[in-house]
Amino acid sequence: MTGGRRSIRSKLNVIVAVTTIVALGVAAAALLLVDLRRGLDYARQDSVTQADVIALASAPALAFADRAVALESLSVLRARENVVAAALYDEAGRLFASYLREDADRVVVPQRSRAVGVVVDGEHATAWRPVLSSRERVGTIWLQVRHDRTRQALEYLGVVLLVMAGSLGAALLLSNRLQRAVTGPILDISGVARRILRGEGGSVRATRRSDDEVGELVDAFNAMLDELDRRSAAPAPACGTGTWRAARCSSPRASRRCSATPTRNSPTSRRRSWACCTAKTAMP
Amino acid sequence: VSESAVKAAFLSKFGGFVEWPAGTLARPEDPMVIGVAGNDAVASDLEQIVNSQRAGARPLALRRVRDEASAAGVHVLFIGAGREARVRELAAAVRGPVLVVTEQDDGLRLGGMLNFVVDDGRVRFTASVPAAEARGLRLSARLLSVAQSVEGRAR
Repeated sequence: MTGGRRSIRSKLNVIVAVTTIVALGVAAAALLLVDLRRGLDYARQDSVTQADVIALASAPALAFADRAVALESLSVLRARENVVAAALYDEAGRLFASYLREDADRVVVPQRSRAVGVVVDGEHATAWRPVLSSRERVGTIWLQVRHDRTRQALEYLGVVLLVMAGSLGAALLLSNRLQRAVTGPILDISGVARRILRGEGGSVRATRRSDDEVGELVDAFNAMLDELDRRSAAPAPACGTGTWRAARCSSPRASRRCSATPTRNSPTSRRRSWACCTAKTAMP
Repeated sequence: VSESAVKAAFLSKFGGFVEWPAGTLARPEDPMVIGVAGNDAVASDLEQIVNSQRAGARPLALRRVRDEASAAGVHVLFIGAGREARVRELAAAVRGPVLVVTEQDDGLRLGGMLNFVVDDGRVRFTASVPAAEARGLRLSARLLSVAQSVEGRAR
């Protein structure tokens, strides 16, 4: 019996674990993707906005070829920690002024301007934007923003794994406690069955405690017992409470006689008598 | 790049950094007329710029100014270095909102609003806010930020 109980428990645990992992995994993957996408979109937007703001401020400097003022307008970027590097190019595409964050390494400022556009990679968003002065193009700005989305995604993944482990533990703990509600009534039924086998009287019944499949099982079981009782109340079945019958039943010959009782020689009655004899024989 | 080419490039851009009074250059397709007097090198360099204009921006037009009469209707008037009396006369002759640009010492005193100076081999300019305001023009702060010096900014 304990083997059966362990099996149901482990089955329920597997169901709980799989459900938890699948639900959390799908939710986390969806959130991660949405978050990553939004983050990269933001980085793209951010690089364009920053470039346009600086372009606006440095348009006169480019138009009137004032390098000092250009450097000054670029140095405003010092306040923006995520801007790694920026550069201004004159109308002919030559590098005019550049800004590099002190801690920026491995960043190479292009010597010539390129076509307008934005590129987002794993670490940076890089924007090329026109510098306009009253709708006339006076130069180009290049600006690189560090976005950290890859690192954030990895951190997020770590958190998700921790949450998954925690939820799984909590779910298994809870499930182990709650599944007694399922296995308890089933164990009751098998307890009643064993008591009847031990011969503790036909009035023993399992108690229905829930209105579910197990409750139905209890009802069916009890109905079966009622039916058995009703039939055994009919004359002739050999087994009862008397010890001599037990003695008769326990010998191989008696068993045969038991099952051969002529009163009601239908297949059902034979089975019932046999069950009765087996029960007697099983007694310690 | 020659000094005259830089001056011509600057002249083509000054207009974009000036707030013109209502009614002047109201529509974006109205051409901005730049008059050049007394400096043929700048005039021919400016002509190149005018001829190679890109679509989209406000169109530019060049007028070589010989006398006071031919200066009528210009938006930007560049008066090349010359006798002070002549510069002063020409600057006073144009009426209405005209951005007068000079290129000599005391240019601002002679009626210029912007005055080219050569600083360490580099062409720069000084600006006079009151002179521009007397003609109903506002020099943008962005223009003033690249001026070498600005007269009458306090206010």
